Amino acid sequence: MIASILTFEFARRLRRISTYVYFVVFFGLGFLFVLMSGGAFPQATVDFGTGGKVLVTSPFALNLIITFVSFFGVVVIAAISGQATYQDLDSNSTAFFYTAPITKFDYLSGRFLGALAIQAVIFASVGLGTWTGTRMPWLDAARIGQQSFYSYFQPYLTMVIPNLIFISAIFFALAALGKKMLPVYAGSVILLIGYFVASQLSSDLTMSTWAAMVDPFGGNAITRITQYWTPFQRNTQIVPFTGVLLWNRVWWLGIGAAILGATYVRFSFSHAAVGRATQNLKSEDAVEAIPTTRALPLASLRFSLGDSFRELISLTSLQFSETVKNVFFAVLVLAGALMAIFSAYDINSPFSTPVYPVTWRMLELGGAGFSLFILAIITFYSGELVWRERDAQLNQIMDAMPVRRWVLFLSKLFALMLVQVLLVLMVMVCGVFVQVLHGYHKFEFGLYFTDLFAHRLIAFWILCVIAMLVHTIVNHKYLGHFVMVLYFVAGITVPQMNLQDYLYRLGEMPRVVFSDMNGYGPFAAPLVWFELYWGVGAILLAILVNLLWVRGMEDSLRNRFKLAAVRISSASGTGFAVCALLFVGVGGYIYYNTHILNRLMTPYVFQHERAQYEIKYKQYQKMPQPRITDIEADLALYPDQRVADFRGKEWLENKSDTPIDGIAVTIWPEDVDVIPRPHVEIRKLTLAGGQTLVLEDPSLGFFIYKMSSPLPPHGRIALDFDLSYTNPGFVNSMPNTDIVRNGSFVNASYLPFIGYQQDVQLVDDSARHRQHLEKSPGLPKLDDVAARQNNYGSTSADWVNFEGTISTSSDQTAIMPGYLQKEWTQAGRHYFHYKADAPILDGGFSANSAGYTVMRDRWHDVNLEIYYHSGHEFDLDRMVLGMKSSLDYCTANFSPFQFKQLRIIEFPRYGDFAESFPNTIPFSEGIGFITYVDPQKVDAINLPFFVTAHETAHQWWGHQVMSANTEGATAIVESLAQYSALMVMRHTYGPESMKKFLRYQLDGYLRGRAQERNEEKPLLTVEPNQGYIHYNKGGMVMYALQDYIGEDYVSKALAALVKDWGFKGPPYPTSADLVNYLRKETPAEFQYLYDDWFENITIFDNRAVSATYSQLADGKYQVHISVEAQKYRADGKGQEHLVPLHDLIDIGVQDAKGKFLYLAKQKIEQEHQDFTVTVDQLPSQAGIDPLIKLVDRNPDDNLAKVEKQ
Amino acid sequence: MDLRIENLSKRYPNGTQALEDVSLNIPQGMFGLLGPNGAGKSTLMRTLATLQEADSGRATLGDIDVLRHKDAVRRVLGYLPQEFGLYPKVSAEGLLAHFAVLKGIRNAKERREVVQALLQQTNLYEHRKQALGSFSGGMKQRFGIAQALLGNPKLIIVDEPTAGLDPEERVRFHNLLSAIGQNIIVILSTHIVSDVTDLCHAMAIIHEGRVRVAGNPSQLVDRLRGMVWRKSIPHDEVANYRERFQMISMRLFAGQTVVHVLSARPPEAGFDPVTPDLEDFYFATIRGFVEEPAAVAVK
Repeated sequence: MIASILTFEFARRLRRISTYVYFVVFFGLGFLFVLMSGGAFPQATVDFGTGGKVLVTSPFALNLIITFVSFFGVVVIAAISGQATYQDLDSNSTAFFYTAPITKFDYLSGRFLGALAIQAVIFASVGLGTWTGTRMPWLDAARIGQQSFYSYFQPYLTMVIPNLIFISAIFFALAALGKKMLPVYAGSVILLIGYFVASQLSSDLTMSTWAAMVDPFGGNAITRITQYWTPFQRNTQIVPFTGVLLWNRVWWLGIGAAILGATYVRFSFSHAAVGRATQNLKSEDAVEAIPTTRALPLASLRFSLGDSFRELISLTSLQFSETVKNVFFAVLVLAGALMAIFSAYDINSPFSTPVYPVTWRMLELGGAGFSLFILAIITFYSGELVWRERDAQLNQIMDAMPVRRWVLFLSKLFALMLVQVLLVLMVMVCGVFVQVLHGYHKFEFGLYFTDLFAHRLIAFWILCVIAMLVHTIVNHKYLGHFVMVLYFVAGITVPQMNLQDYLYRLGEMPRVVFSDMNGYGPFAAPLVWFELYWGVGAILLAILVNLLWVRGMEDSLRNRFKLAAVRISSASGTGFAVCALLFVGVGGYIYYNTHILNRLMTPYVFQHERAQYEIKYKQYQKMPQPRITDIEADLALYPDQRVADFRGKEWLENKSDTPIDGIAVTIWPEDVDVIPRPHVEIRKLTLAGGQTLVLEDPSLGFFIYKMSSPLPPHGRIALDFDLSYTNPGFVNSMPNTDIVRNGSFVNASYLPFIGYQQDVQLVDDSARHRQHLEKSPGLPKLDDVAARQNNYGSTSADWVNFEGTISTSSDQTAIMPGYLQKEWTQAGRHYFHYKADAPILDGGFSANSAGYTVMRDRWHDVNLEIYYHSGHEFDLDRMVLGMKSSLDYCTANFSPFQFKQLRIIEFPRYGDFAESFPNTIPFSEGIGFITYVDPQKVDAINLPFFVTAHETAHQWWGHQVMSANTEGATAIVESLAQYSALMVMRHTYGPESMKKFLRYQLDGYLRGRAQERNEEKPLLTVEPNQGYIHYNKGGMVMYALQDYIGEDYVSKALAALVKDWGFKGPPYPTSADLVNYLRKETPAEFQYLYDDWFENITIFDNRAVSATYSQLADGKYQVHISVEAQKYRADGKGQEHLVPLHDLIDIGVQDAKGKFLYLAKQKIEQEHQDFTVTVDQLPSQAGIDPLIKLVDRNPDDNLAKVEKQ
Repeated sequence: MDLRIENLSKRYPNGTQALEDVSLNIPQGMFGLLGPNGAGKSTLMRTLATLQEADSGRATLGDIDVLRHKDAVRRVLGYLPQEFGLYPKVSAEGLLAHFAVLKGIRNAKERREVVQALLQQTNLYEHRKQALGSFSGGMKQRFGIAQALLGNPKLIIVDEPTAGLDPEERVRFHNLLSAIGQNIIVILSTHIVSDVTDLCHAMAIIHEGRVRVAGNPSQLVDRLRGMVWRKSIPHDEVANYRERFQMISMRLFAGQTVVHVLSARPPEAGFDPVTPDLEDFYFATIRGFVEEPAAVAVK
């Protein structure tokens, strides 16, 4: 019997067109995602987790694509599983089924399995589409590898099918028990929350296992297992169906089974259909008198336009209250509010440092949390509103009423728009609520209103119109929802296809970054114009919807188009024409700004330009060039106009021993950065004594001048420049944020460079491949002696003398490197003259300008200053402490501080970094100034302190010792700054504060190498873009080194490095020099550490197997510890092989409080090894490398509980 | 004010010819539109109620072009569709008042009066606070007619209103209809012959999309006077009789099969003459025994 019910359900679905639509759409999505990830669209620069060296045919990528695409199927699952029982209610045929000689079990299981079977067929299309995609000739052959059938099958086994069963069970139960379809939608949204909550939790490292279990779709479990997989592993290994993934699947399938069981128990197989009761009333009806035939009172009827407007108001309020006075709406809003509060409360930032709940963060985080629900509400309730009368079978009566059609349509649209007002107000309520919870009382209601009403609400309103349009055109409720989901998918995927022009991205608007310092800044203009553009577009669409509105029985789209021609009136025609004109006008103005005044930048365009620079001008890289020795800069910033004029002089000296007759100049071109640079107008670029321009390429910014007389060795010549940078009009998205109203920050790239600039070259191998370039050559090799003549900061100069004047608007302070010599006001502008009293490195130029408040302090005879945005006082003390502690540590251990002044300068959160320039540290408001460090928590991560310590240490590493421009350059400047900051932290906050921080360093390294797109390098030869190596691994390795050989010896080696190389060069030192200095201070037994940690990629997998103790007669405890250790060497792609162990590794025993009763290095020479130690107190945990000093692939299993023997 | 329908045709995309060259002149009073299921009655009703488009033809209500000026039609229209639902959680009074607004009754006092009067007239006054979800079939149908009467309609279209009502409810419903259908046009579409017999002074029979006959019911029936014969026969003879005579109908009566046949003369022994009724005429028409030139329909 089950089989025949199943077949019936299956066959019923097979006869429906929607089944085929779903099949084709999911096939198409799988196909499309493979094409995008496989390089079929060279312009698509983003890959779906498959970039770099991970092949599109790898088990990892296929798993990701198939699972991800299937994830969008929640809507389909909801429709099919819900309908499996609801269809009988909907078609009033319950009587036939409920009275048939079948058991409840047969009925329910047959229907459920039938629905499941058809879904399995539909979702198989994803794999088919994916497979077909991989066989298309347009794919990049380099992205395709061997593939096996099992790679396609396995995602179904572990992910898709279990998800189907679980999700189906929920919707099936909701519809069977609730006897309504709306709970089914609500359920699908609540399921989505689970997904987003889990992803949010997983961003906090320590919660990963829990997050992996919470995720009903299992995606987090996969991430948890594969997060540290190297590209090689991703390409070759099938995601194992074990551990947290297996448990996740078992857990959720168990819940699914429980839901089905409950459905069986609770489902009532009786005819009393809920909600459709037609209970007969008392029989007094029978004695009713024949109605009197008295005439009805004659009412006056009014049908004026004004009456229609009044009707519109009353209908709108009716539709609105019908929508909101609904338990499911309340559930959705409550869930959204919880999500918003959750997102805004658990405030994440790098290293999980809590941040004060300032208003923009509430809006960004709470708004993001809520927006998912707003999208769901718009999608579902647009459908409900459009279908309300038809669902109640009241449409014929309503449609024959003397009501204007636009009243019917607009009342629904306006009701939906009113709902949005309610929802954005909820975002504000949630934000204020979180602020109150945190005890933060600086509510910026103005900002709340601006952001919610002038930005988000407009976007939601436009979406409301689009949703009404979709439901009107599609005219099938579930298919309409599905089309809306496709619209959202398109919103995610279209920008990845390099289609970034908002002029044709229906209803979408550019992203906005709010900064406390600069408000909406340059993001405001494009947003407002696109709002106007799509706002008018939405009115056009609304007129169209009104014409196509379903009224009466002629509901086929073709008939409605015919009808529309009849329906069109002079009013709607005029309105349409006016709006169309306005739309074209606004669109034209935007086009003028985004395409003519500015160039529409996409990642592909800028990569292409960079490639052109390399292809055309790399030939001049070896051309002998003079070097900059002095810079005299005269900067005029006009913050209101977003203009900066760079005038000045660069003195060049021929440091070679042959005459030079040609000088190459690079003016960093506009089009080679993701974030567009301002337009540059070269007003003057002249060499003293005359010149001939022999090569001129303004678009790539490359020029070669031939001098009238060659520059002899040691000869000097001045290059006069006058460059004007402007930001005309506005751009499509991502405006230039260097020169802004409040918080400008420009660096050396605005000055002329001498010679070909290797920094312009593309680094990412995938991007280079798309541009038909060889693999990235990287920096010159360590053994390239000639390359040591250049430093890592600049190939144009060595140490230079710097002096300059900067002017800005009268209300701003402008800062450049060096000391302030003079400050004055003239003609309403504020002037500052700075001069460095000793040569600085060429790359060390920066200029900041904003309205600042200054905090001053002193460290010995050094002035400490923090230039900050008023209101951002939260972290100033921590920053001062960071500066002082770092200055203390570095002067005590390395060498004296070279400046009389050290300044931190806040800049807007357009970049999330801090950077060290000579005596000057620009510091983003995005990573400091508003963080909250809990003083009670010993291991609280104190980001402002750490970042300040790191940047202060750069005054040594990068501004005293500069490395050569060879591979491994950042092992000196970055790894040593990171090491110094770690040591500063240890000395200031104690060793206990380090464990969590080091654990994050390890996590950063393991994740970083997993996502490596080119080739992982050992620390010795690290490339500049491999932050996970020079920061995370470098810091860890150096920290472990001082633990192994002693801090004093490391300090001694580094002090010697500064002594020999400080303020010197060319030639400049390399990472090999660093290792030599360290080796000199290292005993023979630890020399192997450099082979493992610097010269090779070494990974450990250490594990405590078991630990037992027994109490000795003298009251002490004898602990037996059994450990396992494996040591691997990895190649650049992440292929690893075991190497023999001869290592000294910590063996430790802890008491219940975590205090070490025993901690010593023991020689480990075998994979399995046992140790016996005696401790004084009751042991609790014991194991190997308990502080995780080594790079350990599974760092969480190093300790085992000590059991009583 | 008459409703004139001229040469109305409608074909559905699946090829069904729902209306074919339909012409009718409908005067004030109750007009019965009789036809079997699927004859095209509902299509005609919905077209007149502005819910459907015709492929060709015209319809005018007084000066109003029904097919073009839908809003004008809707202002004088009361429509009770064949099948409809009501918001289950709303009270009868509340929904009727809401409809009254939509029908153009802006004045709140007038609206209250009209709603109350209609609820009284349809005997729903006692149930006015009750949620519509609890209404019986008859009450729901009466509510339907109440909303159709809102706003002083000149044209009322009721499509199969008595289907599914018990006999008592039907009587009550007929009373209601006949009470209102005196000064305005009321089109009653039905496949139940006695509805028309009881209520209508004018009628048309529509079958397979075409108007077969139109006129006054008793005059139409008169045309068969003396031509209808009745006989009780064994059941297994039915096929035989159908072949040999113009058999109008057969029915069981006390276990016997009684057939009516149409014949100018006594057909054979055993047939008794009967006084024809509308049912005989209806069946004779849809069986194609009654020839009626289309021109007769339009005066």
